[in-house]
Amino acid sequence: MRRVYAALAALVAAILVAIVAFFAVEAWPAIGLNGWHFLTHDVWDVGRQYGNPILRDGRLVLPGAHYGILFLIVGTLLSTAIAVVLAVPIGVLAAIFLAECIPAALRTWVSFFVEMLAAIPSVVFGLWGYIFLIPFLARHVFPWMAAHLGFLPYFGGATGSGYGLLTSGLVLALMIVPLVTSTVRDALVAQPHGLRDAALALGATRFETLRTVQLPGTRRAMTGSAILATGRALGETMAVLMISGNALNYLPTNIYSPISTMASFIVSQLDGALQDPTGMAVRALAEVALVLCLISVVVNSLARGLLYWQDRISSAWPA
Amino acid sequence: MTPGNTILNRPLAAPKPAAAPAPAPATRVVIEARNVDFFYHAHQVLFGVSLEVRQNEILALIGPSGCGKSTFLRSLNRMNDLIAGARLRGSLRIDGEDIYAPGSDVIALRRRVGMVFQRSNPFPFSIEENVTFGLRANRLARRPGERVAVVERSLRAAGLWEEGKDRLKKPALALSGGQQQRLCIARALAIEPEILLMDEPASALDPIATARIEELALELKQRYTLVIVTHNLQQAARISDRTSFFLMGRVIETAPTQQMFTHPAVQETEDYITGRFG
Repeated sequence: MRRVYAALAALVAAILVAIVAFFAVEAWPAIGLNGWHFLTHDVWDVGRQYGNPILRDGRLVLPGAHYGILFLIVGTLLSTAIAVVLAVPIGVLAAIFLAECIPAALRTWVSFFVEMLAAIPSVVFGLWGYIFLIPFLARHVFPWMAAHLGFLPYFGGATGSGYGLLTSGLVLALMIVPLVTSTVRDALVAQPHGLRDAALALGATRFETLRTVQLPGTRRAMTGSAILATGRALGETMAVLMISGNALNYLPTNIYSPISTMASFIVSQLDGALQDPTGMAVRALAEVALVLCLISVVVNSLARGLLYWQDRISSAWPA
Repeated sequence: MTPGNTILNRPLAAPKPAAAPAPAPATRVVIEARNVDFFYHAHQVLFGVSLEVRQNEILALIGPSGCGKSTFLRSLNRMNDLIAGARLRGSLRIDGEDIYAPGSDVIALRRRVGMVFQRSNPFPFSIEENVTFGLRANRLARRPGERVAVVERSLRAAGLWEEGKDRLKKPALALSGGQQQRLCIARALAIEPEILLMDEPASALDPIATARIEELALELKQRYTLVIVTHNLQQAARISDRTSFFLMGRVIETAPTQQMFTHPAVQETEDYITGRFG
């Protein structure tokens, strides 16, 4: 039985390696062609579709082809950052509320609805964003924000159509809040009562107990759920495709600007890329996928480093 | 009296520090319970409990599992408040003050009435931070030098100073089980309570660590008033001045320990301490 488990575990790892390797091989000619410019330029151009392919660095490409995805990297990271920054505190507060502030019977029901939020297909979030959220934000919220919060950097300026960075961040946040809430709530509920009782018996208030004993005890769960949430936001495709504005070759100038993310860009460009007779456009999209994987790995590693660093800190209570 | 009674065959005096003489009857009453009923929702677990605890004595609460002795103990610092549906009826006074009066300050109460739990529960902090937790929560001894002094005093009082003084910054969870329990006592003592509640403080410890906790209890009696829940009748006999026998939510008998273990007034008490049930 042990061998079966070992073989299955190895298979999972092998599949992961195989997928990355496949993209690396597929993208290899594009990597050679684009070099570092791929990451630092913000112009994506598949070239003149009906021009004769030309030879560049020993590779056939369409004339005028140029692949730079800086705007995608920026759009992906910013929308994810907004989502995580909003979702983690909201999710943790909701978890505290569910674990500590309501009776157990009610907790089951409210938790059920929170978890249902995670079960909604992302295309539904996208459609809701498209039909309801965008007009609402564009007419009522963004102009107000620009007028009253415009003194903050990137909050002022043109508020645009509602499709864009902040809308994407908000919808992504809504999608990842349940992940954070359910993980942290479970960690809070599963904590042995001994530490909580000890703190209360020493005259700590419930809030102090939460802050100094209970929440620090869920640090791993919190960080873990934030990692999961970040991964989900980085890779979210359909909802973002419907609400981000699909900006091409455009770097956001403020939080209302239209953006594109790597995942949604792959979908929106695939059809056009398949028309490229040299195949280079598809290879470049494979390179986008590879970069997305790489960013996910880096974010995960950073988060793991954070966990390690957190474990070395003991008390949450300053002198 | 039943022949072959194991407890009666044992010396009643505490093994180490000289046998505690019966307390002077005139000592001040610190805790006074009058007709305390306790409910979890509709389920009543205490029925008309009346007893008093005197200053600088050790009162042992004995009785079979589920008899309400822990519930009674935990109502003395209102730890039961955390349980949904918990409700107390009757009068429970500490230093004459009704601790369940509307608007009474639970935090202040818990500062005066410390608690040591059945399972040692040090925080996952350093030894020092464990001891100073209550100081920080209650904003006591705010100057760093004062805290150092409190740490030493508390660890000495809990008999942990010699073992702990060189590892103050080390994690508390690296201590042995008995040391952890003594750290929990030190932590409770740091905020200088008047009363120390102990809920089977030695039930998870080996005999040597248990003996240390018992010695410690006898020392602490000089400065504090102690209420100890124990399953271990020998322990009650060794360390307590008076004993209350709980059965099915009622106090059957409260008497000086020596008297209870030699001449119990009530048949149920005798049946319990001679091992007929429980």
